[in-house]
Amino acid sequence: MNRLMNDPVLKQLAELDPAPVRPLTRTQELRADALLHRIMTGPRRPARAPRQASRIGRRAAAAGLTVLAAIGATVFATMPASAERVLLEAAENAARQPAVTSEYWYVRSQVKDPQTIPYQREIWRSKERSVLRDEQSAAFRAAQEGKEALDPELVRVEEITNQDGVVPPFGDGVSVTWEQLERLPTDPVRLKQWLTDNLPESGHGKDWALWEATASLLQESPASPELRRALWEVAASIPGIELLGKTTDSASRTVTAVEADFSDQGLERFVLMLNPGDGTLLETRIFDADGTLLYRATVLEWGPQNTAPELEEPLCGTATSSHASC
Amino acid sequence: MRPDPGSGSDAAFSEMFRATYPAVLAFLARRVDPHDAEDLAAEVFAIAWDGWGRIPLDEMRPWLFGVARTLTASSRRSRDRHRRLELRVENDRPVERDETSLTDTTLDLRRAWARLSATDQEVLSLVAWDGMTGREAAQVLGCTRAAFSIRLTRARRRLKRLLDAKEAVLEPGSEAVIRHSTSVLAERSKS
Repeated sequence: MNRLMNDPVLKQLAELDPAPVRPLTRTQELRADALLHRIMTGPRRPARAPRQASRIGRRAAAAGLTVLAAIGATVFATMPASAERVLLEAAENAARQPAVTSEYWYVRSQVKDPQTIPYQREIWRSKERSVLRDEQSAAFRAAQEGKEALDPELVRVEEITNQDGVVPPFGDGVSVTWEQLERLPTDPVRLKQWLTDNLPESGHGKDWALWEATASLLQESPASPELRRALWEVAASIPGIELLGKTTDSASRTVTAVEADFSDQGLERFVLMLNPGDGTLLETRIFDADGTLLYRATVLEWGPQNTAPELEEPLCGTATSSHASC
Repeated sequence: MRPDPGSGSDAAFSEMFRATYPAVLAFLARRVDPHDAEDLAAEVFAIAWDGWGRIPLDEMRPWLFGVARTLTASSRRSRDRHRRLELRVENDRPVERDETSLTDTTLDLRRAWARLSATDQEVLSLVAWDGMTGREAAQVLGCTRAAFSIRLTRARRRLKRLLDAKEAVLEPGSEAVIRHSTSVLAERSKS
């Protein structure tokens, strides 16, 4: 049972469905059978995205990856200010950062969404496990109760696994294990191809899926400096990215903001705030089409760590998750 | 995560088609005219066949709806004929409860619905009519689960606010939408 349907108004609305799902009529069934036969006996075309309004034409200056990869840092000074310039500068400088290794990759973020008070999320990820301290549930409860501070007693350090008991992979859309992350191509053309080949069909087009995948890998994964360079270069190649300019993020740091606006497709508008000087992604904001902030994640601390904190007993007992309602 | 592209894949596609085709057809029938709905459903499943083996099976259903949504939003046909999601008229289903109160409630709901934005209607319909979970609906709309949850909360709140209004004053055009809804559905019931 879908718990969202516990709402009485939604139940009432469900009764007024103008086209409820019904068994097919005999005629529809015959047409459906013919369609299935036609599809499965016809030539299989290369996977394609559904037709949709192209965003490519909106920005004539969209450069190809091959060209972008060849542009060196010295050229930046002669290029007009643009999102590409900022992202390529971030790419160059990300690659210059020292490579670090340790058992865990640690990220501490401050998150805000309209249903919570601001809360912190800490994650320690290794090849074998993911340890999370996430204040989201407590922050949600505080917001519901009209409180300005969350109750720390409601927060636990816990190990997270997916439904199969496996450490969750990195990336939104694309699923990348730690081992895969270490083997991902660091050539931007090959990386873009790999991502394109491995992204599940989102139904929202390649650009949206690539943007989501690259941004998520830049935000919380232990990507190597060379891989971060390639990821920024892939991001720079996505058509339609606009430069918003210098500003300050929620932690009062000077950042440069770029925007990927997919709202004309009924999707979200993403704003990335980064430091082009070292290629770090410092803040991500997601807006609804009407400009409402839906999500903001500010990375406050990140880097290698040798240990993760001790796990704590879940709030609702050993058999349940602390995210569950008690 | 990914389906086994080996033997049995064709049979699995056929099984998936039979399990999901009626729901995809209904999803489309709410957005375009019935004969266009079948054409678009054919296109949805042709795209699914092209991508078969690349889409995780547990994400297939929301993926299909996402493709269907994109097709309806972008096709010339739907630009010409696209209409807002419309509620069913009262006589389109059997009356099972107290007829008077049901009619009043239904009328209130229809009025409130007509005043909602298309965005709110879509969010609510994915849950109420398509039976999607939050995760599935977020995938259809291409947003995060948190974002969908926020959208749903806001849409539900707006709908309730409209329903709670004692004297709902219709905005100009709302009656037209309801009348249009009735005429379209009456037209459909003839076909």
